[in-house]
Amino acid sequence: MVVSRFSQLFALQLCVSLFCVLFASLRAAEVDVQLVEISGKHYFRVQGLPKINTDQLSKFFAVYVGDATEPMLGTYQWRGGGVAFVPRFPLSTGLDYQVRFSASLKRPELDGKRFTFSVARSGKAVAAEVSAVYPSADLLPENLLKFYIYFSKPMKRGEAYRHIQLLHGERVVEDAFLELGEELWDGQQKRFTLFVHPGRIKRGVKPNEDKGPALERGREYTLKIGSDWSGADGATLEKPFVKRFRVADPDHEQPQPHQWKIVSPAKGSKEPLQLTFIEPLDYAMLSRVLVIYDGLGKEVEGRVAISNYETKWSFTPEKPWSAGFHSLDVAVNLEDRCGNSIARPFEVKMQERNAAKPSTTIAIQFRVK
Amino acid sequence: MFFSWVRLICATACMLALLPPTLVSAGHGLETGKPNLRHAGPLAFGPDGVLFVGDSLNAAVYAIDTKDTTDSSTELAPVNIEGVNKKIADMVGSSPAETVINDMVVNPKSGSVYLSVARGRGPDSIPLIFKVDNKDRVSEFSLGKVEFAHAKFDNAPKSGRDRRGRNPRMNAITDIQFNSGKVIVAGLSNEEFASKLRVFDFPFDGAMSDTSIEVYHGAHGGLETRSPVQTFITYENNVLAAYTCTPLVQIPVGDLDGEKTMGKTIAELGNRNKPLDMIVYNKEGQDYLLLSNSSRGVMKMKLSMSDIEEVDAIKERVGGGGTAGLSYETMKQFEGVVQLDKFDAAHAVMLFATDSGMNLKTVALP
Repeated sequence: MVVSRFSQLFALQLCVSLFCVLFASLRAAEVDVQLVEISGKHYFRVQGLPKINTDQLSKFFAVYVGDATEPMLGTYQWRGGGVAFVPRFPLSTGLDYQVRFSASLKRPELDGKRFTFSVARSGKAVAAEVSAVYPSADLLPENLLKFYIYFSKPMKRGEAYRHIQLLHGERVVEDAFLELGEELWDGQQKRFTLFVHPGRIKRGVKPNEDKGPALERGREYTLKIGSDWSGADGATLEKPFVKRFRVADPDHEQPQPHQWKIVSPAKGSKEPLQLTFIEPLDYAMLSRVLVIYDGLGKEVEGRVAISNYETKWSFTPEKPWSAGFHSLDVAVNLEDRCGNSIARPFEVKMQERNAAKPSTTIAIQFRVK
Repeated sequence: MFFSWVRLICATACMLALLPPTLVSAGHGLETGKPNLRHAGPLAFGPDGVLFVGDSLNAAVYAIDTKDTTDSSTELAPVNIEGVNKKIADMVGSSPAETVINDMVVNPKSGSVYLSVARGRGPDSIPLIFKVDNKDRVSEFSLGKVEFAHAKFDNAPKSGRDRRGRNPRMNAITDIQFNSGKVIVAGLSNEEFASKLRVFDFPFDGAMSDTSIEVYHGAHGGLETRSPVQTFITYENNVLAAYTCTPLVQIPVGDLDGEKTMGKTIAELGNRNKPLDMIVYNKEGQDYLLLSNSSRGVMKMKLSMSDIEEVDAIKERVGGGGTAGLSYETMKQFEGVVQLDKFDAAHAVMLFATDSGMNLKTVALP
C-alpha cells in the first residue's frame, strides 16, 4: 500500500516536472500578450514570463492608456501559466491601451516593447434625441422659471449649458439660464432641469438688471439644443432640437386648488379621476406630488397622465374604485411654470414675508359614487 | 475540558467571521464596511481625518475615516502637480474628458489633498476619492473597506408610484462644511425651486434640520429667496454663503434650526458671476476671506465679526452690475482657480483650470 502511494506520488512529480520543462521552453522563446474578454470584462494576459511574485510583476510590465506616463490601476494574478493584469476599471471604447515592458525584466529583448490594444464597441451606438420639453405650450409667461428637457437615452453630465441656447431671432440671449456646477439631472440622466436665471426674470414693475429680462412679453424666442451634446454612450444627438414660443403676460398668481375642477369616477369602475387646473402647472411635480387615499387612509395605486399643456391631470387606478369619500393630498410646494407654489408666490417683497411655517400638504375630498 | 475551550473559541471565531462587516463599530459612530457611494461630490474634513462626501444621487452625506492623521506639525512639502486630471485619467484607464474632478480639500491633520472624482459622465459613472500626499504621489483612496457612516436627507418618495418606479426628484448638493460638531450641507432640488441649508449633528444620530434661507439680492432688486447657495464657509459660528451674481450673505449657524430664516447680505460682489469656492485665513492678526469666481477672478476681503455686524445689510437694488457692502480686492496673480483650500497657516492649495489641463499647486496666502 505504501509502495503504491509512493509510486503514485513519484509519477505525479515526474509529470509536473516534464510539464514545467515543456512550459519553460515555450516561455523561453517569446512572450505572448493578449487582451482577453470574458463576459464583457477584460484583462491583459501575458504568457512566457519567469515565475515571480505578483507584487514584483509591475516592475516587468504595466498597462497604460495610449502614451500616458502613469500606469493604470489594476491587479496582477498568475492564471493558467500566464500573468493576468486585471484593470481596476472597465476599459473604454475609443482608447488605445498599451502593455509596456520595462528594462528591469531580465529579458533584454523585451525592453521597451509595446503591445497596443483597443476595445471594440459592442453594437452600433444609437443617437439620442430630445423626446419632450416642458412646459409644452408655445405661449409662455414672461416670468417663466424652468424647462424640463427629456431625452430618449441617458446623456453625459457636465456639458449641458454649452449646448443650450435661448435665441431671440438670430440673437443669442446671453446669461439666460442659471448655470450650476452640479447639473440638475434625474438619476438616469434622461431629464435635465433648466432654470431661467433668477436675475433675468422680469419682476413685477420693471427689469432688474442692466441687461434686461431674458424673456419679454410679445416677443418670439427659440430654445435651441445643439446636436453635439453627447449621450452617455458617446453618440451625439441625432439632430438639433428647437422649441419656438411666444411670450405672454407674466404670471404672479399662486395655484389655487379650490378652483380646480374635479370629475369623480364611478364606483367599481377603473375610470380616471380627472382634474382640470386654471393654469398649466409644473409637469414634473404633477407626476409626483398628488397622492390619493381611500376612506381607510390607504394610498390608491395607479397611473398618472398629464395633458392639455399641463392643465389636465388624470389618475387611473390599478383596481376598481371603492365607494365613498377619498382624499387627494396635494403638496403645497406644487409650483406653476413660474415658481409660484400653493404655499407662496415666487416673488415676495420683504415686507410681505410670512414667517409662518405652512403645512406640507392640503387635502381635497372627493366622493366616488 | 481543553477541547471544550477549543470548541468554544472556534465557535466564537466562526460567529465573528460570519458577522456582516458593517456591524463592527469604530469611533465617531462609524462602522466598517463598503459605502454604497453613487456620486462623490462636495468634500469637507471633520475631526480626526474624517472626510465628508456629498452624494447627490443618494441624497446623503457620507462620513469616511481616512485614517490619515499623520502629524502635520512639521513643515509640509508643497503640492505641485501639473495635469492632475490627466494623471488620474491615466490611472483609471480613461481620458481627461471623461474624468471629472468635482471637489478638492486638504486634510488638516496630514496636509494631504483629497479629490472627489467621477470616472465617466454617464449615469453609471464611478465615484472615486483620490489622495495626493506631500511627496506629490497620487493614489486612489480605496472605498472597499473603510469605517464610515452616512446621513440621508428627508427625500423619501411620498407616493407608492415613486417607490415602485424611479423617483426623478434629486437633491443636488452644492457644498458641505463641518463646524463645531455639525455638518452643514447646501443644496437645491431639480424640481421645485427650493434652496436649503441642512444641518446634521456629527456623529450622525438621525437628526437633521432643514432651513430655507431668504436673502436680499442687491443686483436683482428683490428677495432672491430660493436661489441656491453656490459655496459657503463657516466663520465664527456663522455661515458666509455666496450666491450666483454674487451676494455674500451671513447666517448665524444657530439660526439653522429648521425654521425659515433671513440672511444678512453683507456684500454685493457684482453680477454675471458665479462663486466657486472660498476659504478664511488669518495673516498678521487679520482675518481674510478668499473667494474664487467664474468670471471675476479671486477676491480677497478683510473680515471681522465687527465689520460684519456693523455693515448695513444690503436691502436696496445695486445697479449697474456694481458692488456694495464689504469691500474686496481682486488677486490678479491667481487666474482660473476653480477650487481652493487652506494648506497651512501661510499657504493654500489651489486647483487651476488651464487650457492644457488642471494644475494642483500650493501658493502663499496673499
